[in-house]
Amino acid sequence: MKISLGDQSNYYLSTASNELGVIMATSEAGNDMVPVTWKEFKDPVTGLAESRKVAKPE
Amino acid sequence: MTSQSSPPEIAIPGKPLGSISDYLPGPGTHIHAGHVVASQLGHVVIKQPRQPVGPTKRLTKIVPLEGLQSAALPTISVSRSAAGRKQEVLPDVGNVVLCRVVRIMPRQAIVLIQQVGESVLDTEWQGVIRQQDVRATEKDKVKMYESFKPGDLVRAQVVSHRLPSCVRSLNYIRCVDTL
Repeated sequence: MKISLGDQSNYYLSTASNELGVIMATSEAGNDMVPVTWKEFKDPVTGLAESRKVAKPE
Repeated sequence: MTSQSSPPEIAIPGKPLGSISDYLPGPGTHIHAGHVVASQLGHVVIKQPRQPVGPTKRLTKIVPLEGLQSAALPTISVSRSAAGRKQEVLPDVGNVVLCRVVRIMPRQAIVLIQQVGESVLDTEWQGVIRQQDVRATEKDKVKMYESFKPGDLVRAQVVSHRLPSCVRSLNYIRCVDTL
């Protein structure tokens, strides 16, 4: 039997740790970006930076 | 690589399961040197092509050119769980999950949980990252649109969940963990 689960906002998540946050992001121009600081990703093609909650790379 | 008459019941990665002239590759397999080869450890499942049921209503239909010939072949796939005994992993409090951002709102971001630890989920559960959960310091200065964008892949930790009781009582999903 298949039932609706209604509003499926069932999980509360946190990124409040250095290791948690955005690990992959695409720029406005559509390119894959690389993390540069704890709060910025950079598009290697256009050179523009975008702000994110960046996850510290392992 | 030797060709065999019937595929094994359980396959390990790299195990040839059959010739591509006999089978179509399904999930958990790939093609290598003319053979369908297992990509993961699991049970081998062979699915016969679906036969059309009853009279076909539509006179015209679109069929991919390459599909014309291979449509009659059975699909062979390798699945982690035995057929019919599907086990679904559910995210639990404390788990680190991978999720995709779908919507940004002023005080929260809506995400779809796609992976728990190392296991990929069959169902995408929806999750919420609230403004106060984005970072540990200066929580009140967090701006959601400066933290996430739709399409971002995010690593996050489950802080709480509110599963409807119907999910547990109906045995809709077999829970692996403590739920």
